[in-house]
Amino acid sequence: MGAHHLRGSTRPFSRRGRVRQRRGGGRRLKLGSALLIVLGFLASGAIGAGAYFLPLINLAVKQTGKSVVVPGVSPTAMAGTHQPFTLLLMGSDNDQKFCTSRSICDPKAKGTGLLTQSMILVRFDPVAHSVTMFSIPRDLYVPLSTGGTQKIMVAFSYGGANAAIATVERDFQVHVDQYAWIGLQGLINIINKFGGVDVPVLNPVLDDAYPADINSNDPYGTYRVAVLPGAQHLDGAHALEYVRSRHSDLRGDFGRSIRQQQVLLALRDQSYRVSAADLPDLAAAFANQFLTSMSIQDIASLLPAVRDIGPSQIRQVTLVDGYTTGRTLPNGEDVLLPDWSRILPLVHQYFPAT
Amino acid sequence: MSRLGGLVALLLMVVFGFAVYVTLGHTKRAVASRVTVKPPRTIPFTLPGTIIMASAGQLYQLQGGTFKAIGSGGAWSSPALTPDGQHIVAVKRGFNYSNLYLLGADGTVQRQLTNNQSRAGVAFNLWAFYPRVSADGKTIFFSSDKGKDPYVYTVDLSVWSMPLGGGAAQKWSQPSPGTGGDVEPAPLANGGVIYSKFGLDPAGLNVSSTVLKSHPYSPEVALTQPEQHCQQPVVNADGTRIAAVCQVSARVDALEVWQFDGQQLVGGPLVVFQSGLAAAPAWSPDGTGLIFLAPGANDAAGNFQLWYSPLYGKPKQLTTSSDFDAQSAPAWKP
Repeated sequence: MGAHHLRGSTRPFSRRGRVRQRRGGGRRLKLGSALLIVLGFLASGAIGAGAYFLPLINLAVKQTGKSVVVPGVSPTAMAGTHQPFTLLLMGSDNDQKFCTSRSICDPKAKGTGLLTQSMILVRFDPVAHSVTMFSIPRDLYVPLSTGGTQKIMVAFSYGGANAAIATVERDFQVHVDQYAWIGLQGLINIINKFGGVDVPVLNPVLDDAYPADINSNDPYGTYRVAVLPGAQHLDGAHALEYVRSRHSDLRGDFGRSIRQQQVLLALRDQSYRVSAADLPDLAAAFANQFLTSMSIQDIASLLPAVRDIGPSQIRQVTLVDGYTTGRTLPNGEDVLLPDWSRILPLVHQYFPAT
Repeated sequence: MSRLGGLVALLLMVVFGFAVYVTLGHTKRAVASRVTVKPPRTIPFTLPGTIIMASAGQLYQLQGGTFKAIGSGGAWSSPALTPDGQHIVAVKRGFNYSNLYLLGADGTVQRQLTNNQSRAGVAFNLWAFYPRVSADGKTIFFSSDKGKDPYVYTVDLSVWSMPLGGGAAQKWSQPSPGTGGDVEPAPLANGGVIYSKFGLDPAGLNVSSTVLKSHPYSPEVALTQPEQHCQQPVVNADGTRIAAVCQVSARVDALEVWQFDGQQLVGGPLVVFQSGLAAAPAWSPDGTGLIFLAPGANDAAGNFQLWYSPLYGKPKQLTTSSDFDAQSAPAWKP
């Protein structure tokens, strides 16, 4: 009876309830399906975007945020874009091709085999909207942080960025907040990805012994270079010839330093044309040719700040006139002896002394 | 959701993901893959006469607003016209050397004028650049490292002359060692030549000036001062005006024009163009305006485009998406 009553009393309710339940369940199912579809599209879009930005992600993971520990100095602080900071920019050729006869390539001694052909200290002041570029001559004969006295370009080969930064910090009595290193092929790639750079070539740059080592295994091969004067559009290979050639320049490495700073300015001008969608291609251009202590976020926030700096706020400093003395060592090596009494006051005008 | 509906949704998701990837690719702006450099075709502006220009190693003739490739492609640059307009002298660049050639008006090679290739070693090769033909059509002026010592590193260009019909070359200038030297000769009707001389100031910084030489052994007369950083001088048809590109700041050039009395510049310069970089000026045959090369206003990569400016008027960009050789001043004949 009870059961009957129960049946009798619940049957009509149950039918309606089932319908309601079915309707409610159907609604939930539809809602769930719709949610699933939306999530599916979001995931699909994210995968598409992720695939597109994969080179950038790779770069961020493998080549940026490479902090260094420099013995004997305070830990390197990450630079924000709201306070002035100093970046050591290094460029090198790949002297690993000479490794058969050079101890600097010994991995046990943390040797990289890379000589920094270019070392530029860059001071960014986002508040004053100014940039100062100071080129360090590669042949400057200085005490190295790893011991001994040699050309400053050798520091990197003995201990990578750590040794190069420590050497610069100790000899120039400045603090380096960040560093960035780029290889020759990386420079060619990045300029080509920008579609070239516009450079007002300052004088005819001729070189009868330019190293033919980019696409060759012959470390001693040479070819002739003639970059003619005047404003022109240079692709990566020709821009490299312009910044790397030094044999026929009366000022040797000093002339080259001026040209390197010029091409940096040209690259800055090209960066106005970069959109976020260009970043994966640019990152791919840097594959194995770029290392920096900055994170990808640091770089992303730095770019607009650099673009905001007017041409008149960019100062170029080189040690052209009387800061060094040329000397040939007993082993036949040509070096530049620094006159620290003149160099340090100049450097500390723009880079705070430690 | 039916199985079919699910499959369709899944397919649409895959398409959507792919579309996101493709759409992001289409928003790229700067990279070379998005920069389309096209051979020059037409310009929406008719310049009188015929202009010969170089782009990516190919010579082009601009006539009636339309470009036409002339001669064979390769590594051609710096076209110059003979006074009768029937021939072109141009540079063909090889690996480690360059040579001057005499071409017909249609670009076909008629004669090789220099032989700068050497098998003795890399440093034994020679350069020849910037050919210009004298007003009487008998002499070519050019820049070369001819006469250098192949066993020393220093290489500088000097100004030379040579009979167009063949014969010994004559050295006109003595470059400042280690500066790159003397380039861009522009012959004068009186037999002299003006050219760009590069040097260093007392602080060791690059300077350049326009200088005049009446004959190979006369002293150089500075027409502009080194600190003006002037180069690429060109003389108008009647020899009364000189135009040159002078550097205003690190990234800004000015195309300036002076009156010229045959010995010196008279009065201050008239600034024809001063908006970014500029190069390779050439006078119109009637001397009322100049064509020159400068980056295009909206070009993605900043390749150099053809511009025209009347002496007194607003400069106008004539081409887009082209990539003219900014080291090759155009040659313009009536």
